Amino acid sequence: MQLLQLFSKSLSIDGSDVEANFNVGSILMQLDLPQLAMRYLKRSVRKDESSELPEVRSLFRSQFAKAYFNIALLADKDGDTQQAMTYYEKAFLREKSSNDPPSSCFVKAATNLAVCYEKLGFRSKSIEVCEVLQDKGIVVDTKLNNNLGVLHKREGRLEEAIGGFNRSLQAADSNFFATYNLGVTLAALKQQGRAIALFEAALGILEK
Amino acid sequence: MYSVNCLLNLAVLQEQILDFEASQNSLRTALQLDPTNLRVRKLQERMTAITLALASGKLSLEQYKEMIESAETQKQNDGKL
Repeated sequence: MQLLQLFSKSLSIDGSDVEANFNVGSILMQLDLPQLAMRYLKRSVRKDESSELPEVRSLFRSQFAKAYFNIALLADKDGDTQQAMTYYEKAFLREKSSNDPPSSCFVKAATNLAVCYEKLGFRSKSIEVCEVLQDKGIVVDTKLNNNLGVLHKREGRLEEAIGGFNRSLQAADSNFFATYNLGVTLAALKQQGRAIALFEAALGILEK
Repeated sequence: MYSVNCLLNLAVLQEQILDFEASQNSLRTALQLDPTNLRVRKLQERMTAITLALASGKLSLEQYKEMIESAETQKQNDGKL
């Protein structure tokens, strides 16, 4: 609460303060006040959306990416996949061309963006985003590889799907979804023995 | 829900490798978790019928294997159409 008062004070001096708006928005998110949080987070990216201030865009690049990511999360939680996709895309694009090591926000934004693309029927774009992450060296992320596996499986590329699920399990061997999905894929390939072992392992993960 | 799906898949696979007892056990556990699940109930009825037919000699193991294989071929043919 003290922090909220502190940032509110900054905003009374400069209502367009990027960091203060972002921090107030993030605190309101934690307090489970999504509509109010959305208002402040959107204020925090106003300067990014103004093309007249390229130096501001560059200076606050990672801050803007985080704000876009939080806006997308709120929209996603609200069931608005279209809006979530728009903002995950903005967060993703802020860091896509950067040479810096990818931040955890970037990985999460990209992973969720891929899911939104898939939900909205843009499968090739979804695979493309996952592959950008792989190109950036994010090869050990369990969710990313599970998602890639699912996408390949839906495309009928079962061997590539198996590769994705196996990589996902290398990153986290207690990932229920990757275990389950690998079981389904192996069952489709008539490898019943291995599939049975995986479903039993998946049940074990749920019981933990 | 996830547990029931796992158990359903297990039951189907165990049936495919002719481990009927394990399959029945998986279905029983699934039914304990979700007593109103129609898929589990249907599969259990089917399993019971198959087990009875096999036990009474009305259906041989060979006939049963052929039955599964022809169902698979039919599924693949349908897929191609």
